[in-house]
Amino acid sequence: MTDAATSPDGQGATVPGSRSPWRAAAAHLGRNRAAMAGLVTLGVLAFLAITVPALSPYPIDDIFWDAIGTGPTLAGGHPFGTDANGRDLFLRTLYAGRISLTVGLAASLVSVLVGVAWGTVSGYFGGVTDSLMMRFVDILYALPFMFFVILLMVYFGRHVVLIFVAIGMVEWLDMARIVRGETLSIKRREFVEAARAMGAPSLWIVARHVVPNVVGPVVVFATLTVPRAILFESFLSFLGLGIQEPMTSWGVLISEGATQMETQPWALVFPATFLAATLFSLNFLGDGLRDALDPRHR
Amino acid sequence: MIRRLASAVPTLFIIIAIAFFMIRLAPGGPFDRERVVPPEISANLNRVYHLDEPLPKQFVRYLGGLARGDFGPSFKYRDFTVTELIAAGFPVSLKIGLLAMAAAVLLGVGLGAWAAQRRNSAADHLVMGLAMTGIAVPNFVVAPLLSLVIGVYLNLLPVGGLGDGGVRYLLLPVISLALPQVAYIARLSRGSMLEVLNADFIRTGRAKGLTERRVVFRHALKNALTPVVSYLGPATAAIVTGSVVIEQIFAIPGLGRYFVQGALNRDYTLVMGVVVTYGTLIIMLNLAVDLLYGVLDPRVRSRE
Amino acid sequence: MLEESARHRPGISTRTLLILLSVVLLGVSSAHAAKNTLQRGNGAEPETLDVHKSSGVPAAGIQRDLFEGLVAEAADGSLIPGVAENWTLSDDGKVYTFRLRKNAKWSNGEPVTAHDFVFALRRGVDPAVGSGYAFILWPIANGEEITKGKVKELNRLGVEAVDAHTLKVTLKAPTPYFIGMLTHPHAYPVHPKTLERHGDKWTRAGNLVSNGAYRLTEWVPQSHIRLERNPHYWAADNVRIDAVVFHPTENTSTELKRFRSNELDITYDVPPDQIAWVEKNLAAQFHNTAYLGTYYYALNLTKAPFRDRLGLRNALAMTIDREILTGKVTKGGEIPAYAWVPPGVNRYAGATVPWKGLSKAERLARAKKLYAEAGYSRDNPLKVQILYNTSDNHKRIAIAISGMWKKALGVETELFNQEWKVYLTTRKARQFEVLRAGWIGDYNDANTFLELLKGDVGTMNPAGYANSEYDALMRKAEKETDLEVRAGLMQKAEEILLKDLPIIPIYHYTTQHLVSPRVQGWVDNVMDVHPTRFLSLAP
Repeated sequence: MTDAATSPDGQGATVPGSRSPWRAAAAHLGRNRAAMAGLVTLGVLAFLAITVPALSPYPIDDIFWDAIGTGPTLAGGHPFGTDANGRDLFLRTLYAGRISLTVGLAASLVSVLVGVAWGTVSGYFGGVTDSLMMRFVDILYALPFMFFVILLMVYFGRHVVLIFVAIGMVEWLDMARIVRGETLSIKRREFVEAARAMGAPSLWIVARHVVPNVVGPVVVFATLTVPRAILFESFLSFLGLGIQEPMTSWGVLISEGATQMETQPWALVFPATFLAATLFSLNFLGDGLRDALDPRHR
Repeated sequence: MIRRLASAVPTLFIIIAIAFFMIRLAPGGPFDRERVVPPEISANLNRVYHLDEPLPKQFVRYLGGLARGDFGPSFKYRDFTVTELIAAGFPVSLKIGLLAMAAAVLLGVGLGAWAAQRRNSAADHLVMGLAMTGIAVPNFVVAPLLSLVIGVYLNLLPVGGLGDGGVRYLLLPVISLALPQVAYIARLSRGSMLEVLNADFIRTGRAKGLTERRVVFRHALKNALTPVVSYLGPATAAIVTGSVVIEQIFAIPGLGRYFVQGALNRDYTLVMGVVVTYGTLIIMLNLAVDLLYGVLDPRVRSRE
Repeated sequence: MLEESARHRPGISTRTLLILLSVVLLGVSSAHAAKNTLQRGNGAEPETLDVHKSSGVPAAGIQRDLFEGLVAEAADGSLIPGVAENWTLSDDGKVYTFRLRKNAKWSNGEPVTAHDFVFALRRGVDPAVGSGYAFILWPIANGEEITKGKVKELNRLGVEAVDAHTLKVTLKAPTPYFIGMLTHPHAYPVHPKTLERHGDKWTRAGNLVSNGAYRLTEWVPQSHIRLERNPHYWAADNVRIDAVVFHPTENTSTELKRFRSNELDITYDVPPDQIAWVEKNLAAQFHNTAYLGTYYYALNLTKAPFRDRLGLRNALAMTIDREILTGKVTKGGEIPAYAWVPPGVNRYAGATVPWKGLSKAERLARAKKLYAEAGYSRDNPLKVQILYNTSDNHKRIAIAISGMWKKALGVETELFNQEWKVYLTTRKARQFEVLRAGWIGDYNDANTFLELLKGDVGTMNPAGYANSEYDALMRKAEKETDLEVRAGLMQKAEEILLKDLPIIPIYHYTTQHLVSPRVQGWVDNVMDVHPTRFLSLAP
């Protein structure tokens, strides 16, 4: 929202005949330095998270019995130090990035899939369908969702996939509302009216015409859902309901590190820095996307 | 308005039903211990607490109690009824939650508007950088850090408990709870303030020779608040969630602690009581937010 | 546009912002606690103060200050006369006659009588009360029968008020640890009229009438419980602390911070991951004492891979390096365990695993051989799952042990944590392979440990262990009146147990407290009891 206001571009980028709106958006995004920095940072983090654990000479749960809870040393081979069990934190922090990023992406994906389906159907069909479906969303809003997530974790153990689903199920509500709002306005546009007049089936219209046109706001909102999902997973970890050992996530590492911030600050500082860098990047990227996809700002 | 209030009742009913059956279906029961009691005794306990009845019958019994304002006895804290525990804990959580909310809105909007007027200055970047950090650092890191530095090292404020209920006991928990929300709201209000400051009616105001102070306070701020108000719903939910962590870390006798503990202890009635209380609170707050929205943005009102 | 807005003076000045800030951060005032008040950390909120319904340590610590049984504990945990001034035991070891102090009073000034004890002990075994700890009173004739509904009349319990100050207790069989059991809250007296008058609300502040050194004056759930001295207590003159406040603080890191900022005088615990720091920085205040408890892994004997696999069980037990585990991972001064019954138990010499004397290299060699004999190798490793209830400490121990097994034998371990109630359900159904568990003695006698592994105790026996020889020895010990012979029988039983290894002992617990220098009279003891009435505060 911020940098866009200062950008020189005038109005009318959406005028038919000029460059495609997607190209324009990409170009606009490319000029947003904060967003690009975010994108690059995320790319680097993801690359490290994938390659470093894969190339490591030892597994992530290897214990260094002579180096339990030692601080960061390059000479000792543990640039981020080791945890209270003597496991290398450099490796674990990067491996945790895999899990945290996956949790964020997968949970956002769940929320996009459910939210878009729910929102477009509700908005397009309107009437009783709409009010029933939105009533349901209202009810879930008022259900203290943490209770819901805790019980899911209790029922099914702590399978990673379940964590994706649980967080996604919480996050899709906002998505559904936003998509419904967009759908309501798209519904009245000429091309939808035309398709309807030609007798196209409703679901086909939704899939062919409505969904592609809500992509913009959905993408923007999804980038903001990813950090929320990552933070929510860390909250679950604090409550002891997160990922199972020997897997780990930034949330797990941070909640372990937070209990020892005085004695082993490195166990907190490194994972927290990685988490913060990721969240910063995602937020900048989200802001950039919003500006780029918002016609008012072009 | 009254229609919306009335529609809250079925919503609440469905929430109660979902929560009731979900917690009952979780493995383990309130009286399970490591030391297994003789079957005769557990049969007795189950009879006393009506756990031997079929679930639907228990549900009806529970609803009957609720209608009379009776949440039932706590399964874990056996000297108290759930009503008493909620009556003791809820005001504490509410006080801290409301203070945090007030701090978040006042500081968030203040900082956001302040930064917006100094756009791209060092001050702006500093505030927004801090706001990002506030969002990116989980409160279970911020809270122990604050209590360590301010409570233990500097010895300025107590690190736990409510003591005599004075301000000094509330300060750290409220700050820890408010911080991420301050950050979100500051970002939101800075963004909307920027848009509003460039809007036509503001320029007209300036052109008419109104002082900048008057322009900002009378016109811009009011319009810039709309996105903040619509964020209050999610903010409430976030503060409720945050209170679970904060109350544990600061040993605050609020309701948030019962949320997780109650579910883990299978204290059926206590969990239900907390769910009902928070469910009602969230419904009420959402209603209030809608009302406020109408006040700030007349278009919304006319549409209703 | 940018230039335009920059030309105007900002409408929200920095001063306005500062005012906003100070409104929010308003008013840091100071207040301080009364001088002669002891502030104690209490772990969790007590589930109840009702002596017949409570079960946890958090409640017991408070009840010990509120009530006094026939027998009490001194500052060092040893047994001293409580309400009973003295007692005699009949020649057959079955009938105790307690003579109560004439000056023992309830906090409302009424005398404590033998009738009060009869009332309380009957209530303690009453199935309608539904106590989980009724077994504490089962050595009394008909106690178990009444709880289990086989005898319906409460008055058939073997207790009798001979007169107002003489209580006769008849036991089912001679029980050498019975006197020790009487210090358990479950054997405390209750004030019959208070229970009649207030029903379920009898433990509330204002209602509760107690006979100990303190009385309950305030109870705010999850916040604090305040006791003040009981002026009617028979030894009130020797009680030096006027008031004691118990603060439930589940989060041990928070408790440590509260101690460091002088909000607490005594902590309930010390966070395991902070022990090293505490030893370095608060050494003088740190009290780390052996405790009557054993941390162990139970192996499920009812299923593969541990059923009928003695060699494999031994191989796993031998390759846990307990010294490294306690020295580098748990770091709480725990005692490496080579036995089931912890050291420090009264009248008991103890047994150890047969291979305790071997060096580490010898153990490793032996374990490798046993592992191979069981049909496993590096290429065909044992795959096993450790189940533990969710907790950082259990997690760290499981990680370390799986690392040791992997290094020594190549075992592939899966760690599986479940939240407590789910864990209990899984454990009860014996749906595990290796289970983390711990056992804290209920009273100071080997029986409280050894009886857990008898074949007939049901699902509480974690491993599903059943050895007829072991059971026969235990049955014989229960009937034996000669204490030395009895100890010998139990020791033989433990030897069998440690040869069979249904459980792998890992370490014996220690208790950790931080005690402020202003608290005087604190004595470390294996029972971990520290009645406030023996403490005082330096001026």
